[in-house]
Amino acid sequence: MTRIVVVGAGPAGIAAACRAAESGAMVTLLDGEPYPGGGIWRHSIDYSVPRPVRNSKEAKNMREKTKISNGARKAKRWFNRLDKVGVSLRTSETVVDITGRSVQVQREQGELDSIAFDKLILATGAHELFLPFPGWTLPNVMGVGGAQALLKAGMPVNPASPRGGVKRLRVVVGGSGPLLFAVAASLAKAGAKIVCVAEQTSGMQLAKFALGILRYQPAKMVQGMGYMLQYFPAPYWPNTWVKEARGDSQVREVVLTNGKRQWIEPADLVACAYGLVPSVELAALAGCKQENGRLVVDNLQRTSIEGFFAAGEITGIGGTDLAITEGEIAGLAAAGKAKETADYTDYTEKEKKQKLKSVKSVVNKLIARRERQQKFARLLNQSFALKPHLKQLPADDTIVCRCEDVTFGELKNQADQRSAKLYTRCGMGPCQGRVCSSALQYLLDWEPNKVRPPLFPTKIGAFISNTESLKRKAKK
Amino acid sequence: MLGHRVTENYDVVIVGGGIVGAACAAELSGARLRILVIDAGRVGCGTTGASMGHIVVMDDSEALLNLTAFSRELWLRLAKDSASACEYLPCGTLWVAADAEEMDVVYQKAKNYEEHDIAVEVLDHKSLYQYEPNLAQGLAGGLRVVGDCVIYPPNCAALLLQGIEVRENCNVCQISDNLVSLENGSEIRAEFIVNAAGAAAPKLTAELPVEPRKGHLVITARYPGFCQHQIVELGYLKSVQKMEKESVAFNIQPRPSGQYLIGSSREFAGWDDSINRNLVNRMLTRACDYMPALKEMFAIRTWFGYRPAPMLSCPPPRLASGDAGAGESKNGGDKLPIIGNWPKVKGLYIAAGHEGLGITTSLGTARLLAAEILGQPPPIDPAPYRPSRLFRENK
Repeated sequence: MTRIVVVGAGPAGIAAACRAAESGAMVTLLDGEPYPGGGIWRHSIDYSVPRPVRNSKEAKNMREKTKISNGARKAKRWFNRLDKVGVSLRTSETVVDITGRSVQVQREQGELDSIAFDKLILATGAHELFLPFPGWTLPNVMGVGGAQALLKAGMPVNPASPRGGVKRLRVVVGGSGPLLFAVAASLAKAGAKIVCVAEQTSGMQLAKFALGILRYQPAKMVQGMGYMLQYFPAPYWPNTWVKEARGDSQVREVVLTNGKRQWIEPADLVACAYGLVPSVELAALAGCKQENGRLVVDNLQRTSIEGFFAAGEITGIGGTDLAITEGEIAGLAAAGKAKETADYTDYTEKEKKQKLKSVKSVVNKLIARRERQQKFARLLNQSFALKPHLKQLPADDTIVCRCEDVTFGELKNQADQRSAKLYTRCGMGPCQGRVCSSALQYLLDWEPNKVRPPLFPTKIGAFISNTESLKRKAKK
Repeated sequence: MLGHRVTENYDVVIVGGGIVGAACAAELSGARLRILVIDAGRVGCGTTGASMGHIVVMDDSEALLNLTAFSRELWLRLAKDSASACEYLPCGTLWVAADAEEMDVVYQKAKNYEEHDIAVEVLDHKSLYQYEPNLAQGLAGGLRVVGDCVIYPPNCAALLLQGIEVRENCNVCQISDNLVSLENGSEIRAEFIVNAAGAAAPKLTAELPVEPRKGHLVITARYPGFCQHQIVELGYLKSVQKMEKESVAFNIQPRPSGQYLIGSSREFAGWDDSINRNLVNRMLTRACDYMPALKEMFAIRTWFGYRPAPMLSCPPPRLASGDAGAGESKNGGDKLPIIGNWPKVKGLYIAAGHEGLGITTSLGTARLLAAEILGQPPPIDPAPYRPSRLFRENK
């Protein structure tokens, strides 16, 4: 039986695990978080029990006890499908290293375990791109993902006022991409007062995007409108970005700009993100080929390494639906169920279409679906492409690497990421440059540094095997 | 333009912008010479960037003791003027003796160091734990070498290269009589050429007996105050001297950031560019044997570098400290770097084969080499390091 390890239990990973297991493979689905679902689905189902699930049955039991929110129907479908197939779901297990045909995972308690595989499906998703601006290190300035996580963890956004009544936190949401709608909506729903949503892309691009959505995914339009209603009547300003955050013990106001003029808005909390970037660290450590920060895959989601597949955001940001389709294809292909489908990589568009029509198979259907969804992904990436103005966001004294307190002024004259690391310690901290490296790739067009194991801080004791004992002991 | 060769002229071309090349450039820069430093990548980002930056006096042999002691003096002078740029940490070295047998070595070493005016303190069982309470129980004692210190090598290389012309990402493909040929087809004429290309030096000077000896390091998260000294097990000396394919020895270094570098491994694996996980595990096991509390600490990164190991065929000299390790050395020779004029190529000088002591000995190497190039009296006896010793043996 083919042993398949899927890394990342987001939409792509869950879809891949389901398809592979349904095809008869022995599947292990790994995720570093306590609950499956990835950044997008994890919170759509409210697990009231604050502990990791050890298998899909346990997850199911927990889920059945809790209410499923409206936006999570698709998630629920996939979770149910995952429950039905025999997948070994291992959450709170973070992959820290990969060697040959095995991954090393670190459990919550810190011990390491090695999991061998025949095929590997990388579905490690994406993380948000945070561009540093003056004042971003003030308390209450955070990424949109961070704001959402704090909200889920019970951060009060309408604390009781000392003078009686409640004081609604004033929130400025900034950055780029459709995620801004969602986070503004959930903050508003929790009781925060949204001051504005500042979207860097132009009104023209947004209009094109809206038309595109109507064409490719009309349901998304409804969802978006729903979000907007939730934070109504706060304004949504295109062509606007946060230039600076000001405050004392925490942020008090932000300076917004449209490139021509700037103005000040009050803010008790700022949530910013400039879209998503693929999380390719594990793939890079394994040695899979990348291009422009995404993983290169072929028609069957195969990476440059034999037996290694990739699906979802790591192959390029494209949203949940595309991630699911890619996951399904990768799952089938890894389980050896896509053999009947030729590799059409070298075909022309026309030949490919004909081929896809003539050979009726699940995989071909999925490939055709993926092509349609990729159109939406392209539209998304074009519409929210970052303005060159944003390269000027950080001032010389703005901290870029927060682990090591390295400022933009220290970095901008360095030749590349490698010399920046050695000469300024940028990216040497515990996050291994996960945050600043993406920002610097955009700000200074730097290539990322080589990834060094472990991918996440790992207990030294866990590394140790008992093969070599101390000379002293041997002598005794 | 096809086939047209650009020829430039310099007085000195130094191939290799690691710590050794940088030190040579800095040493020669006072002499009104036109100097160019060429590096295949970025200066200070090769083996220099991967190394620990431990400035240590070694007493393996009289010649090594002279070179390391002289070099340490130069480092202390440099660090005095630019302590923060060097990230200078005067932590000293603590050699740990595991048992009575190793304690004998401590006494021999202490005597040897004292004869050469190197300040040391012999530690018994009790005083060892007063200095380093986190060491494993049951160790016999140690030797504290007070004046040893720690610096941050890449920044030191950059500091030494200040005001010197540097060409980065530039590949040299050949060194011949007074001529450096670049991969892009152009050539540079120079009266003096220094091959300071580290482990890659034999690629340009074929007969140079230098091989890459890979070493791994692990860095921890921040735990300020965990240990105060660069701590090295006495078995380290054997790990250096024995020319085994793979060996490990306990070595830990405190960084000013509160982090710790854990070493060390030695491995003949050519230019293999993967992390040898088994060897790293052995290395960490060894470290935890000496400092069990390390087990609870987090490692955040592992990397490696290529030490330029001298592989001389001449017989090893008698060890000053009487350590038996070197006696077993098969092809490590005298384990000394190769510094000085290379008789077979006109104008060529070698500064290579420093193995794991390149950071320490870079400044002394540069002084020796500069004295030879400029015709000045040598600061210490240069004979033990001269390339000519290789040919004498080959005859």
